[in-house]
Amino acid sequence: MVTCKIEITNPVGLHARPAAEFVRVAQKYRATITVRYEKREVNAKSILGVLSLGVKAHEQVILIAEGVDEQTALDALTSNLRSASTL
Amino acid sequence: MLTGEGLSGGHAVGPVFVQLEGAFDNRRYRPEQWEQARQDALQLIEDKSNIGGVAAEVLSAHRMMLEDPDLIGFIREASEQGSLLEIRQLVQERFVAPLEDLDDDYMRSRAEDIREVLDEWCQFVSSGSNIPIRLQNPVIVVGERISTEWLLSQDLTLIQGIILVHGTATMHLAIIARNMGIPILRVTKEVYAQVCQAVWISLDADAGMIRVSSTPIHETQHKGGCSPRVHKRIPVVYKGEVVEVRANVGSVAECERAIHTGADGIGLFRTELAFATAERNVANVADHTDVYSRALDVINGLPLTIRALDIGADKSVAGVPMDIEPNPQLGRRGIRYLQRHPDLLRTQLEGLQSAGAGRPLEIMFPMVADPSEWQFAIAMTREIFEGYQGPLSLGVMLEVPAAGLLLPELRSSGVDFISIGTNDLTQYLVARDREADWNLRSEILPVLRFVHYVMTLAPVHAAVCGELGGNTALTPLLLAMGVREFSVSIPAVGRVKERVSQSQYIDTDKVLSLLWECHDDNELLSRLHVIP
Repeated sequence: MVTCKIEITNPVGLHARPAAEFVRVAQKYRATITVRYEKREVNAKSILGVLSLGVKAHEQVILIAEGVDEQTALDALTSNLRSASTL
Repeated sequence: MLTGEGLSGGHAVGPVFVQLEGAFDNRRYRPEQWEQARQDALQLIEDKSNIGGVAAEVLSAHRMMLEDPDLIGFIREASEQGSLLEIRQLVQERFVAPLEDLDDDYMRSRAEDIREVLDEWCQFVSSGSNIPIRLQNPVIVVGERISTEWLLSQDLTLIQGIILVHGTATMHLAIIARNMGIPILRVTKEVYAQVCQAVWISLDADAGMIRVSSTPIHETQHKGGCSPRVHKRIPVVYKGEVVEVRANVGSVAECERAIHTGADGIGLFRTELAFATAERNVANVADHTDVYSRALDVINGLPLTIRALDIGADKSVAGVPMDIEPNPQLGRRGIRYLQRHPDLLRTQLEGLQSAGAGRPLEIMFPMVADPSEWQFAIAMTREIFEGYQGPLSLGVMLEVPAAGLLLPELRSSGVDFISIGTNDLTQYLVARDREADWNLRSEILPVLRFVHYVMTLAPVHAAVCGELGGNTALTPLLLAMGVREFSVSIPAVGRVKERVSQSQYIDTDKVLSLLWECHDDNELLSRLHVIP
């Protein structure tokens, strides 16, 4: 299992297109990926789950990946969140 | 007078069409039936996937929800024991309510979207199929909720306005409606009940007013004394694809008029005027930048196709040297002229590049006859636009028949679109001066058949920007051949849009051979006009 804490820098938070893109990236990997925010945890491959967190800009989430490709998945997701912030 | 809150601006008058929410039965369905229904709902989205624009983005969001692993898993488990309405309730509690509870307009809109997707799914489970009533006449749609799928299954030109109880300005339905110029008013349940009783409605979503009537309301009565309104830009759809009806213009002032008339953009901006200036012998880069940046400001994000300088033959510009030739119509016109005077093209392209400032640009080159002329044009364009931030689309104005026959070669050397200039194309096809008296039967038919043939050679975005495009008798034929953009004179924009929206699919070969049997121009015209 690998985990990572990351700040959402996109000005709209983890909403709308950034959320959809994040989920699409997550869906490419076999690992189970969880997003933890405040005290809740959701499936990173579920757009409904990710949206329901309502993560706003400048807040932190923890990503937890577990499975054969956990490290590549985590790297791809963190880079997705970082690149989204520059849009 | 009743009131409501506008979610999409504009005004409308028309008969009331009440769209009742789908009633579901409350039976139990097996998990496989839920899965089959989900596949059907996805197929419905797939069928509409070529719609383009904002609507396509909405459908892609809906697809993502229908493919959500949490939602699918939840329903699979619930369907082991629950009935349809029980499951619908559980899904709402589990997925919709948390979003509704967030203090955020955006999230509440997504909650509406999930509810919509869920209802679509339930509809398929309960009916096995979900074929909505198809509107035949212009109406104002009234419903507690109106789903995006329902809206997109209709001919949007028939929907004059929408009145609903549940919705937000950022819900997908409202985004599409604003894009399509359809006004939406949100009202209370009490107002909704009264509106349902009415026969005709006039609504003003900007002012939030509704007037109900038990008899038809006439447009003039409604407008009473108002200043003339700017026409709404209402996109038209043919076979599920948006067809752009743009305008041909020659100045920034005309751009403005075209947009106010409801054109979807500018399909031909003639730049000969931009070369003539009072201050200098011929326009410099700053002069060009000024004209094109004002044009881009005026059209405000709508598409704009700029034609590079097209002189020679009958067109000349003060200050620009002309070559004396024995046969100017077949001489150094358009791109051929520019090849001999590359500095003129360079100045123009540099002006365009700086005016564009990263905004989308479409540039087309006149009189291109073969790929080597095209190579010259794009080599210079690519050099000047190197590092340009925005989308750049390059095309040819199809006037020389050879360019049509070489379409596959042109496509593979980077031609993004063609715009068929039927005036010159006709004169070159039938070898008769474009100013001479013309005969419909012997001129239109070869041109139509030529366009039809060219369109089979290679897939390409094709526009018609010549006079033929403004002839509404030909609209259904051109659509059937694959033309997806018309660029016409400003006054013709409205009637071409109307004709596109009424056009049905026809068999081009059959219609063309039928036309050939006509004995004279009158018969030909009357036959063309009965094409659906």
